[in-house]
Amino acid sequence: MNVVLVADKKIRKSFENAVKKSSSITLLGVEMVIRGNTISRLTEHHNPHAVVIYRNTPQKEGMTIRDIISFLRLKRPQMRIIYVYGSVKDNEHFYEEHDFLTENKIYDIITDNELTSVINVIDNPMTKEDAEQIILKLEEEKEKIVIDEIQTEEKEKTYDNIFLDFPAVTSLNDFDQERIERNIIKTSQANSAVVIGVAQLQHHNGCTHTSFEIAAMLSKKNKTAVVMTDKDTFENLIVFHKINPQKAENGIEFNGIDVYPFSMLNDIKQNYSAVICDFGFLRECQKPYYGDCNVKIMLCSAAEWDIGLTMKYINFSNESYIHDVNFCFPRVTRTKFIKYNRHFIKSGCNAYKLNYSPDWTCPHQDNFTVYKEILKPYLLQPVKEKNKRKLLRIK
Amino acid sequence: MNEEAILKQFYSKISTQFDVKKLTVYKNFDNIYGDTLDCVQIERYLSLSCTAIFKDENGSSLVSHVRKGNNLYVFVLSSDSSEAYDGVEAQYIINEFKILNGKLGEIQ
Repeated sequence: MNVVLVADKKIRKSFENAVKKSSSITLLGVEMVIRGNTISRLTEHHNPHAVVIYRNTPQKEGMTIRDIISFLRLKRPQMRIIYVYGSVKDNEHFYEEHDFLTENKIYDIITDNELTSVINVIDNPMTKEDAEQIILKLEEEKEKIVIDEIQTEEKEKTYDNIFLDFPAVTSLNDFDQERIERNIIKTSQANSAVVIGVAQLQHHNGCTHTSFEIAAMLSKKNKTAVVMTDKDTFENLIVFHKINPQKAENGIEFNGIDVYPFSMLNDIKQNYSAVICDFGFLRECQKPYYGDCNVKIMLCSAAEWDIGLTMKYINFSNESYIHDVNFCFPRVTRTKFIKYNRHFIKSGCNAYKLNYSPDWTCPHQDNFTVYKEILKPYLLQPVKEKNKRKLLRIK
Repeated sequence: MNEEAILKQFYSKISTQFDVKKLTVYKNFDNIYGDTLDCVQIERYLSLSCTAIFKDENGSSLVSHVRKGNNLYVFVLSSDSSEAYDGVEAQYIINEFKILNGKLGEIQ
């Protein structure tokens, strides 16, 4: 059987020696780093019967073992993949890896570092039942272990699919011209009323300002409303315009934009092409509502002392929609944003730079472009005329 | 040969060999050839860490960087076809970029 090894250089020698002893295995080559061209080297250059992949193989250029496995499954479904996990120290991590592998119909999973086990599995493929047995054994062992500190385990929780970290804004600008990434841009989807959720991870990042900027942009051609979740902000707005709060509790209208308190969201939704929910600082109780919005905008600060908060939100948030969130950065230089954006793109997240735009009724042209880009997948539908609500108009 | 002439020559070569309808080149943040891009596009393209192909229902664009000294050139090759740049076509285009890189080096 022709085999290719994907492993760190420390394993190479001992693996070569072990293979020499077996007459049925021919080692075609060794890939010591996972990078952009590994897939083509495996599928086109080597094209072996089986690939032995070690978990701790160094990974570069944004390529991961999971990428390699997914591509191999797609391009060479008949090629056997033998995955050497090594000894299991973190059960949860192993379960995730195990799930991923079995979903890809890979059952040759080795949970020790013995080369004899690897050679044995190459010669005698494991079955689905064998792979399930590993989990059962681990479960049995787990019951025997007395857990002293549950809290320490909880801290180790990570979000696997996203890798976002900002080591320094001054990191190198390395560009790999030969690696090609293919992106398919989503096609348009029609919605009767697009609900746009605007939130922020910290106070004073301009959430309400952005909501009104978007409303100003959309209200030129569509019927648009802004809904405010923050009672104080809504009241402050009313007070500023010297309106009796009781008269304004069913909404107000100014600059062609209807503004409502959050309690009226479900009542007014069907009357508008676009409803912008200004969540302000995103509180735990508001997260389900934010998650239900068609378009999610999150305002973040790009300052070195604040960016960690965004990072934490992305890496540790359990929200399934994290890739759909549009992270917007006001008050950031273009150079700095590009360096941050590089990490966002690698992590599959969308980030945009907002420009200084003090007058919300007439937003900065570049902000217009950003909002248009965010709303590109949505077609705003004109609303059918219904009984018009009589709102208090501010002149 | 000056920069514009080199880019013109590159475009005529690439558009005859491949399905390329438009070429846009940015030098750092400035448009030096073809149509201008909007701020979102240029910021996204400058943030790329590798050659990228963007596809939508209207066509495809291949975006790559060429660095010469302190200057960063961003190349955007647009096509009407959503099947453009599939397979090895992108690899051939990258090779053309390498040749172009040498030519741009001559004018530095």
